Amino acid sequence: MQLKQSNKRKNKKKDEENIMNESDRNLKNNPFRVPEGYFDMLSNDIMQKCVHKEKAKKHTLVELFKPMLKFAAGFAFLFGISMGIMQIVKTAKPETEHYLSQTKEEDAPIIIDQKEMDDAMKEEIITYLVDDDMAYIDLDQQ
Amino acid sequence: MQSELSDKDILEMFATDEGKNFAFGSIVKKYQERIYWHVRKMVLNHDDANDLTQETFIKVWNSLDKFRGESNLYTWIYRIATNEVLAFIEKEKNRRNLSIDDNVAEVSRVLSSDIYFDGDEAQLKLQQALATLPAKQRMVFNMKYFDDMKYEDMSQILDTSVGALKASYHIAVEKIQKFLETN
Repeated sequence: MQLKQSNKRKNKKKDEENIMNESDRNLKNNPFRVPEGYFDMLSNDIMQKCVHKEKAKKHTLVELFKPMLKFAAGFAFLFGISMGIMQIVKTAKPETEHYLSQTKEEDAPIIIDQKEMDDAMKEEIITYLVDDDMAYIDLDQQ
Repeated sequence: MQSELSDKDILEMFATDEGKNFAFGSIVKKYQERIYWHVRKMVLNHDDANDLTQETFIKVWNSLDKFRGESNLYTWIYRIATNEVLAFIEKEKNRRNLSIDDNVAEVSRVLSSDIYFDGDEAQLKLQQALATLPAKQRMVFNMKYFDDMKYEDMSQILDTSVGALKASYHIAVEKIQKFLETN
């Protein structure tokens, strides 16, 4: 049994040798060619694709995050401003209330009514016109 | 003359920021020809071999930092190339849907008109015989017959046991022999 297997193996090996020896001694030679200088070009191409791709990838990531960074910066700025205003209002409110409670009515600033001011100005103008012998209506029509 | 760096040195250099590009360049220079011929013998056409070799090294570049060193760098790169080639052949097979006879005729047509094929009649016939084999079996034959690769290395690259590879090679030889006898 073992001898049979051994012979079978030997025959197989013989077949493998025959197949190539019978056909052509040069059969194992590489029948393919490449363009001249191809392998120098190939390594350059590979390096360019890999290294450039990596750089482009890094660049793209920065580009990708740029608008988000801008948005975040804008948001932080607005948040800061809002917080500042809120802080000012918060600190100013008690001071204002304190000031008003301490101030007497006669010391309070005069609040000018716009209508009263207009009437006063009108009267002044009429007085001026009367002094200059002109009718208010003339001025109004001009 | 500058001596070639060992794979271990290359990998250590690749792990550093300043040495990364140089280390990768060394890998490309060291293995590009072997990988190209491994691919070319399977796809036959130079342009396809060129594209697949480049794709292989792009994948090497992208995954080298995850390489754990459990296998040789050489077998790891071969495995990537092999997967690329087998996927490409499968895609082409599905796209063209050729019978074995059509495949043989196609190989004959392509190689006869290829300016980068210098083979004589016997070599052309061998290529036709190879076209009758399933892709993985053809690869086993190429690696053993043309590249004289050890079964142990082939086993790592093709993720197949040594016994199965030996059997596959013997079957391939028988098929080729039969083809050469009848054609």
